[in-house]
Amino acid sequence: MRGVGPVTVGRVALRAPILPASGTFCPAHAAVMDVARLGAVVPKTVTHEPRGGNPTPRLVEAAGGLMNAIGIPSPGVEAFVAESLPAYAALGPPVIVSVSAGTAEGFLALTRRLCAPDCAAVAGLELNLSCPNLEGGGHLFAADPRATAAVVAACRSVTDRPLWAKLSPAVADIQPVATEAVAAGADALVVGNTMPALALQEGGKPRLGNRFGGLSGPPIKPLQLRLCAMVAEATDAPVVGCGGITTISDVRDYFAAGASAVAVGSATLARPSTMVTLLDALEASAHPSE
Amino acid sequence: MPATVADCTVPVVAGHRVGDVAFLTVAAPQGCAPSGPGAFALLRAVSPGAPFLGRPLSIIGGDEGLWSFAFNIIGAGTEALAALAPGENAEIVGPLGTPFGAAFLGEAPVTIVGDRTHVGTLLALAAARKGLVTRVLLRDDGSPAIPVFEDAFKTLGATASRGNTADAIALAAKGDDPLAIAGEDVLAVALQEATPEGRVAEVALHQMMGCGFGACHSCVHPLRDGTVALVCQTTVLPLHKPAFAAPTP
Repeated sequence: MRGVGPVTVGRVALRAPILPASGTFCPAHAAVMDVARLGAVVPKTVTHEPRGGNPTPRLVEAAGGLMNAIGIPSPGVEAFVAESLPAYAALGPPVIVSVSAGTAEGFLALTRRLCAPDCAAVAGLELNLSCPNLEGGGHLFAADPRATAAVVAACRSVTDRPLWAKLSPAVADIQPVATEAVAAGADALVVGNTMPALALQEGGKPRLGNRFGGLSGPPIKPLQLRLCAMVAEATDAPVVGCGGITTISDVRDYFAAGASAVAVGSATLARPSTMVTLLDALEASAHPSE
Repeated sequence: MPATVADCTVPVVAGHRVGDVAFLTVAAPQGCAPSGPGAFALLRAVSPGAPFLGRPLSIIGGDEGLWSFAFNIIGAGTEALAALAPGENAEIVGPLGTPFGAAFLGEAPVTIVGDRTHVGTLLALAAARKGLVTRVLLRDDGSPAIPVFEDAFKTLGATASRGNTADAIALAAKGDDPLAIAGEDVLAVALQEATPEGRVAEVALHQMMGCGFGACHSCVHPLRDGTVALVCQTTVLPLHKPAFAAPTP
């Protein structure tokens, strides 16, 4: 049965087809579940320099899911390599490091650093393309096939390690973005990031400190599922589905839409052991008589 | 590695509400002991329409297979929890967080100052000190919740009274016993200014929370040195470390 046991996605040998979405998992989760069972571990997005993140509130409930505007707080890549990477590597599963920058050169610099000899624990990089392109009018990299390709190509020029491109749902047509990413050297596509949104209090004041945020969780699952299917139809690259996965039925839907693996985000925030619960259900469905 | 933090569904053993204050007791998750007063759990009602995330609530007592909670009902999440009847279920993730320091659990008297914000942490401390001398001052903002919490402290054996911010400042400025604080920023700022540097004083923080493990960085609280703390990892801090918003003139 598809989705049970190890699977190779974008040249990364995953122990299982379920992994955390970036920003929802950290080594402290080892206190609550057997993290060695996860397909991979994905740290919070890393930037080159330290970043503080957005003003609070950074997370609110909305429309039956969550809205966040965390703002990519990061210790910076050097502190990440020195302090965080060893802790993630010690967990056992492959480490896929999510990276973000404001320019293609910035992505290149991060890739070069994280693929240096002292970063052998980095199994691959997830390029978070849902950030503003400072040389492209502030539009998201993932909103433009050429900007997406430029980032992927820049990273590919300095490493042979697996590159996963994480796409944004906030595009008119995701298929050209996906195909350009693969043509530029992406090994896999993650579909996708949160859906840009706004939540207001009574009186019209924004509920998030950053005003705008990203909607995630069950409300966006049908939207992301469609995008997953469109990307899977447009390319031969493996797809990691992400968006609103809380039950085994959701996992099966993503597999049916063409995903090779799934990333669980919001549900991990609500119930940290959701991923192992889903793995148990997958295994039980593969061996129904046991 | 054995789990030291539970993620499970537990039955409600007892619950009642007095106005906008709720008291809830659940069966404790097996094999996971709170580290002390200040530890919390993310609690979510298993009921239709309950919000997506659990609510961070301080664990009051961790003995005899029960975890108790006391909280002000301030929104949909706490309302759903307050509506749970014995036999109904709650999802629980915990224990999480850090406790008050050892000085607060010794035989010497301790002073507690707070308001109805995050008062569960202070009740947890009073419960851990049952049988010892604990003096409590609650800043009375006129809410009907305040006398309910005052009675709860008395039930735990503390000497509890109500006062205003000036009374709280006087307690902070003159005493030399350990001082435990939880409350709105206006109270915390006043007590930071009033408490001598040499006095052992700790403040419990509160913030909107996501994962509870330090992964999502939702629950940041600013510190005076310009950095931030994740409240889920540093539930209690020395009084002079956090930065609080100064009251608007």
